[in-house]
Amino acid sequence: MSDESKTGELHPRYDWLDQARGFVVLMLITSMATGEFAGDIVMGEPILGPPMYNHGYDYYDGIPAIITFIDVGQPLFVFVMGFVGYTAFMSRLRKRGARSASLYAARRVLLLYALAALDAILLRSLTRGGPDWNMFWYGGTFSGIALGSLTAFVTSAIIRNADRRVLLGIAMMIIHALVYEFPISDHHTWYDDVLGLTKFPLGAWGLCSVAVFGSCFGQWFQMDKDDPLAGFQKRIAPASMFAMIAAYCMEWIQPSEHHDLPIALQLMAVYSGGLMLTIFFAFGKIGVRFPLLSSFGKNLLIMFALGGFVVSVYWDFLPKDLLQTEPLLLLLLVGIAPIAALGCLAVWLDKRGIMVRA
Amino acid sequence: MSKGRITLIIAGVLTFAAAFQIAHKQRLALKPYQDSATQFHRLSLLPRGYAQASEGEFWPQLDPTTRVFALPLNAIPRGYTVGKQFKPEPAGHIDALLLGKINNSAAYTLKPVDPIVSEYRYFGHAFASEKEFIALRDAIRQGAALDADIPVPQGSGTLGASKLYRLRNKLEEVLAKDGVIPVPDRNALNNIPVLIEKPHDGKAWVFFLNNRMEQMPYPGPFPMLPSIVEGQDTATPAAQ
Repeated sequence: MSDESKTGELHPRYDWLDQARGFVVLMLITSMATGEFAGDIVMGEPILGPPMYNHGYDYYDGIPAIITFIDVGQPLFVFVMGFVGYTAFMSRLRKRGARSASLYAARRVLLLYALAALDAILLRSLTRGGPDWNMFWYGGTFSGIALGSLTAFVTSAIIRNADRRVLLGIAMMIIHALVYEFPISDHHTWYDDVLGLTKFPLGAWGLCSVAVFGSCFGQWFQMDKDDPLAGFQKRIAPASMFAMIAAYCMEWIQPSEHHDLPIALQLMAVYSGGLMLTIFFAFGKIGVRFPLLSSFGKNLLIMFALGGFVVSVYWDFLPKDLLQTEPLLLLLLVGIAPIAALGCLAVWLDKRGIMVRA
Repeated sequence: MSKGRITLIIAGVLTFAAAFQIAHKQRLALKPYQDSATQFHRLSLLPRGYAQASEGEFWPQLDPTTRVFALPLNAIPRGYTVGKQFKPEPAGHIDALLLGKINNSAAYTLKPVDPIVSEYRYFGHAFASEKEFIALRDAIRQGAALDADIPVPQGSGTLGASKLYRLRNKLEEVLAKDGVIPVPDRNALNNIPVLIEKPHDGKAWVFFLNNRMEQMPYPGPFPMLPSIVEGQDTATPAAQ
């Protein structure tokens, strides 16, 4: 397959980028399995599956927060949405006008909110007796991604220069860090609940900051149309390294936590995203590719949504007692089967050229 | 990168560091308050847990022997929080252990959450004004049965009723059924104190029947009145 293909006349579609998107969605699907089988450390309920591929809070939800690579998954997803969203949105804005770009942005955001409604209203009502409106508007996975995408679109349209837009992203991170640190905002962890502080959508705000960075990386990638390496050399690689150093420093003074997304974790998503894109870009250049990842990446949202809604039902039918004693069966039924099934669907859609775009 | 830009970045980082330091110190200053609130919150779980498990969801009654406004320690289960990891040769006395394969340790010690009688006041019955409290205090001094609602003159009971209701979950439903309040409204319990901490530095934590916790000044508005917070305990010479 060629490294680059055209999607209509709007913008090229990069296979290496689909590979990166596919990798991110695989991480998210994996965490759905490990989260389901996280057990209970305190009550002695056995833990099935690798904690490395699960959120840390599924084992210990306290202070200090336990962070794994999976905890960077959602902001990384939003970073990638910002990256690809920039290209999709701005190419429409330039070639088809503001109306087309706005319709595209509205369609994507509304679809994500429709998924948020399924998750936070319908499923919550069925399983927990009522909707969770905070989760619907800003606190859930889908609403967080929707707000992040919206922020990427709006800021890209208003601040056309990525070198300036990134300053907005930095400012948003600084505001997050200070609001999180000053005793004015309630943290997700229970410890300060007794203080009765104001709830602040720290997680959603953090995702929006990451999305702004994603859009900047998307624009930097295109800074020289004749030389795609230029964007990596001049901006993406240096910015990723700066983000890595900043994340390291912030971890010492304001450690990561999954739900409130302190800026250490936001920066980790930024540099992980930058490095991941660089790796997959390099893979593309040397002709290394994993076909399954491309198929996943092309239908990223549908794979993620199916992973969330359908596969979670599948877990309920698995024999947990048996899985405790049979690790090979655990690997097969939990670690491989859902990915394989979704992979078959992704490849089937890909072969027919079906891409469900938000 | 130009010198001006480097200077700007350094200035920005230093400004952020200064602002962060101020924010951190302010949050740190709240820690003693947070710790005391957490301790009081843990304590409030004891009678709440008792109520959930008791028939009729009654909160603990006052000790019929001492008849003091305190949690009856012999009647409610002791509370614990997770303490240090259990070592094979513990240095001190071990009250309780949490057994199980936890973080690769066989057991953790448990720290008791003790409601010290002299540091907390617990009332057993529901009152929402000083007048109702005085009616309760007098009734207890006169030997009223502590395991039931206490009949008092009309207007002196809970929310102006003719009896002082024993603390229980969903008291609002009983009050509505008896016509004390028009409809079962949980807000009616908003001003019924259950547990009051002994004041420190002019303030104390108060736990209300609707599960609300508030740190209030002392002396201050109801229920932070000397008669309620520091009034003599209720035991009569005969009961003692």
